[in-house]
Amino acid sequence: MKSKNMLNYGARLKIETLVKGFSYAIGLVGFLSVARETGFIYNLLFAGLCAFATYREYKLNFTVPRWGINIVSVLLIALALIRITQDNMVVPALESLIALLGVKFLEEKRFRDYMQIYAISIFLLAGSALLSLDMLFLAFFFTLIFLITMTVVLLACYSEDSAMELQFSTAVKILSRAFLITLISIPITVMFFIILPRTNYPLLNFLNRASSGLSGFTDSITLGEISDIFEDNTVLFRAKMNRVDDKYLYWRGIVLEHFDGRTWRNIGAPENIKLWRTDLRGERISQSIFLEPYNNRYFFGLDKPIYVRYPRSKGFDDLTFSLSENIMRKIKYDVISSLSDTMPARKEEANRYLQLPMDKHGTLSKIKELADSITGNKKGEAAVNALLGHLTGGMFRYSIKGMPVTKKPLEEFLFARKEGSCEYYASAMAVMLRLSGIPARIVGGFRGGDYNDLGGYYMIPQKYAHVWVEAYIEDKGWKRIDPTPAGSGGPTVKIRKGFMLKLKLFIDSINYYWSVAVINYNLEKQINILGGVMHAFKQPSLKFEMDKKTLAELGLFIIAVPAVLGLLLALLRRKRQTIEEGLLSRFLSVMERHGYKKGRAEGLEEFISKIADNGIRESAAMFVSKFQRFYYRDMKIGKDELKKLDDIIVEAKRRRADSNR
Amino acid sequence: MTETQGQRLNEIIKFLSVYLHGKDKALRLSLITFFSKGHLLIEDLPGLGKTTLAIAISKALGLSFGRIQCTSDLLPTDITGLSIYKKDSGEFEFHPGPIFSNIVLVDEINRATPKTQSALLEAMGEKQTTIEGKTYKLPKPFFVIATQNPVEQFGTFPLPESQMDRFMMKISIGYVSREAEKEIISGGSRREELYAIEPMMNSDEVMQIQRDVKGKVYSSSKIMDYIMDIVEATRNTKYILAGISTRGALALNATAKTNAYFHGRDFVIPEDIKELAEHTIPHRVIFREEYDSLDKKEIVRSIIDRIPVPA
Repeated sequence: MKSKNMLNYGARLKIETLVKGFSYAIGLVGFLSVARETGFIYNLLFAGLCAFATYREYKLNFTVPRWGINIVSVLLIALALIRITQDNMVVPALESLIALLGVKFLEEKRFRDYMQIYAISIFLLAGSALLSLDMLFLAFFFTLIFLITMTVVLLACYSEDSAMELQFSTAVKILSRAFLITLISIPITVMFFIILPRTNYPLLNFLNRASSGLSGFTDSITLGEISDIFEDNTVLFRAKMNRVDDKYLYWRGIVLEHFDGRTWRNIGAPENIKLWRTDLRGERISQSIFLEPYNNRYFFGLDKPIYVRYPRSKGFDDLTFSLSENIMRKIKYDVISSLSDTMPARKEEANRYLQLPMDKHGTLSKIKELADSITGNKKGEAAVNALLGHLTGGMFRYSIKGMPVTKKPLEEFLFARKEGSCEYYASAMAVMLRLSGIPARIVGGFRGGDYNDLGGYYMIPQKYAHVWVEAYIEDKGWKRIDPTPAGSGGPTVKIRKGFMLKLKLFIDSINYYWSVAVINYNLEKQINILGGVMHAFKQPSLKFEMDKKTLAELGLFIIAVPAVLGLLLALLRRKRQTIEEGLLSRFLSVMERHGYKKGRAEGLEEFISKIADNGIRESAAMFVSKFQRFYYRDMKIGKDELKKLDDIIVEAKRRRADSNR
Repeated sequence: MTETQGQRLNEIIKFLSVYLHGKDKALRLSLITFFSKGHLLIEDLPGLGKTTLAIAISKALGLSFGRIQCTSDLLPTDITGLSIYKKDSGEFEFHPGPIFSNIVLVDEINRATPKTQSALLEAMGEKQTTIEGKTYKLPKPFFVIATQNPVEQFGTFPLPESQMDRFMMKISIGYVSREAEKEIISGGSRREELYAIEPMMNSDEVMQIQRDVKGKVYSSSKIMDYIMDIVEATRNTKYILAGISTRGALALNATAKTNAYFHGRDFVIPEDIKELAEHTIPHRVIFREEYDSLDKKEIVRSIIDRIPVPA
């Protein structure tokens, strides 16, 4: 008998030891996930604190005063705040977290302290994901989830009864349950793994209008196809730079020189061998541009960009820069621009910008007549100004709604409707210039930008897309001409003020920092897979050309969403229980474990009178008489009383073991 | 205070049970009805100790006792009393009837004519009686114990359902156990001794307890909901044609409070209601004819067993 008891005792585990041990393990995993990135000093500090805390836990009998720990914690957070800079945010924060975790270990731990340790560990792991994301992250991730799931279960028991001892088999059972929870959570997590790091990628883009009737940057301009343009508020790029005068805010992207009567295209300027154009005068401005993926290959820079620093970027003679493939992920590049509105060029080069389409409908001759009547005898710059005056003089109105869908868009614009978008103005201007013998080309890009003082950058949404004209003026070179009437509500600069803009800019600065943080983070593969799924749904015939992997992911998505929703609902329902109901359900579940189940229509006293075991009935009666006094008198159970009642429940829980012995 | 008073009541029950062999339960129910300021209907065969029970209660509580034996020629004035012309003073003098007692035993109430019955029931409800245009208050406390014989049907006027509702509880004493009956036979009737017992309370104390039950026992809104659940269930079940009235619901609450008081609690729990349900409910609802032959207590129990308690 005695030996059996001894054996039992040996197989019992103190729950406190378990909770402590696992909590240290959780902290350690959190630490290890970032240890490669954080500074040596901090790693050493953590190791030291950790070792000391473990030693204190088992050998020393003294407690570090809580106020001391709080002061140190505040100092550590302050230190982190001081060290954080815009470019280096993550590492200092993680280092402070590591130190904080080490300090936390020193504490005499209560329930919330354990929870804080877990929270910090999760933060550390999340932080490590910002620095590098490889297979090791997944390993840490699942270890952490597994450990935390299990320890929280143990912690719940521990907080009820700190002296509780667990049978070895029970501990193993909890362990295996926690492992199961982790396993179940894997598919859901994988889903988030795909989506989360790129939440600002327009995931639901497929819901948008399929037509390209959104305002935004395009690499060709076609007139007379779309009657309405919708403003697209998504930010295409952010340019970190000093504030400049609004009149300089022309962002050059592409030059279109070939016109076929309806469409302007880029047919390729000769590549510019000279990397630095020293012949450009004007203030030099450097910008760091954070460009969102946008399915095209052009870099944007403040007009006139003379240098773009990005691997494999190509510069062209017309001062445009591009990659040979589309930009499919967030990139950052540096640009140096010269704020000059003219750009020297030789006349021979300029002459290739006189191309005109064949005059099929007689439109061109009509336009030529108009241009001649406007310019009269004027030549060169004077002629340019005269033509510009015709368009901006007030006869024409800016509009992006109700534009004519026609085969002869320019004729319609110039002679009939006299309203249209910047594309019409620029086309009309360029065609009239060419008809007057002045080389001209269309430049596509953006006009304007919202300056974010908080982050020190310009935010350029798609709706600021704009086209303007460059005309060649002898002895001067290419001169920027914007024929679109200013202040007419178009994408020309609108000075927006007020709270909403400030709020928008503030929110965008968070976005900006996120972009900065994940800029080197390559995820386009995952996004493409998801995009493929979305795309397949977009097809009217719904062709399943997805591979097995995509299908599996889709299936997981379908399973995961209801699962998560169900979980949330269950949590909400749990929350609605009052203290009294919670207490009662705890009591009843303990009784049920003893084999006594209360009927729905059974009163509490009625219920306990049926309990056969004297010991259990005694503690149950004690609970019921105390509980009823509050419950049926509509009185709130005080903290002390709650504790007492909980104690009775705990006692009742152990009754069985006692009577069995 | 409550507990000691509750204890005292239990002591009274214990003491009286010496004289009322094996009638503890009936005694308890009677006292609950009494302290709930209600009236009691005992449906039982003759000779089972109804009168003894009434006398015992009145003596132990130190209250006056009156008895009316109902027959078909009983007049309302036989109950309420009447004014008689006095030749010497030349005035009418009021002679109060047996109803002017604290505890009134109305034996075989279903033998009285409806007119007499209603005079009695009015007195029960209003706690006052009107004779020749003059209103007389009945003494306080006022408690009617009516009995009726369930078997004898010939020449009786069964109480209409609406009148049944005026009784807070309907109980039956039933046969006592073999042991108790043997003891009664060997010892003989002890009714004589009952008349001699010292009262254990006076009417002031009794009324104080009645006030305490009403004012100091707390009935939570959860309990009210539970009562309402029961009331609604009786109104919606297929067994019952007419469910519990509002007066019935009041009676459920009042008796539950007294029951809690007897248990030494100053708050009501669902058991207080459940325990009394088979005495407080069956007589005040009308069962559908097809279920009339079933045990009505059983039906009520089955209805209540389906209603979840608050806790």
